[in-house]
Amino acid sequence: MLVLTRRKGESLVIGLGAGVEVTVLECGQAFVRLGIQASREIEVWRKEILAEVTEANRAAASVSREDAAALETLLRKKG
Amino acid sequence: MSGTIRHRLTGSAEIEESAILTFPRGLPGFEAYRRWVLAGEEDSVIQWLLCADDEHIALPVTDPLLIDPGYAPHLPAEALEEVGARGPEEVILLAVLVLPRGGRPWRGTANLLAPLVIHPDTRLGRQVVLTEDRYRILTPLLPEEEIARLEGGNP
Repeated sequence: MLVLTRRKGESLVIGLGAGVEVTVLECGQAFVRLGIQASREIEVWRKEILAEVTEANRAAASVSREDAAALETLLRKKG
Repeated sequence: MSGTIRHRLTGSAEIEESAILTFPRGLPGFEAYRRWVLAGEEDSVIQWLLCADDEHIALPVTDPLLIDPGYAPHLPAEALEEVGARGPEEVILLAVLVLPRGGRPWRGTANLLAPLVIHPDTRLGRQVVLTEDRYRILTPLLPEEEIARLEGGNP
């Protein structure tokens, strides 16, 4: 892993041309606020959120038709 | 390529190519799959997002308003633009459902933090992560007291 020290207001650029620019906006004791400038085809995710959404999507793909049908009945009663 | 697609969930019924929704980025967990189809009875609460390129992949989805009647997320402008929408009123939102395996479907959850945003005309879609703290990935489908009632007080 490349390790760099940056001060508040300083940036780094990943890639050339339409690269990604990351700026340190604010530093607290336990956090940093980052500003990220990137072309729109580059998605920026919080890593743990991406992992959770990935896991939820994979779990959804293993739902059985029978369980879904049982839920359908339940939700209809609710509605 | 033929004009129709087969999928395990639709049995022998074939899916028209024209029904395909394109998710240019794929979905987290299914990044390689860009072509999906929405299937299910018109009046069903739960529909299925079928992977057009792997007949074993299907995700149950529902209208997020059914889980949270006040659901009104702020959709980022660039996400709307990406599916070809001029405003949030043009898109359909769907929440991906997760149910525990082998029973107790009332313990299921809906992903209200990352809804599927689909434009019915351009047929483009994207799973968008909201920046709003009030929505969760694992939102319970039913209120706790109802779950307790269904389980007869034995959690």
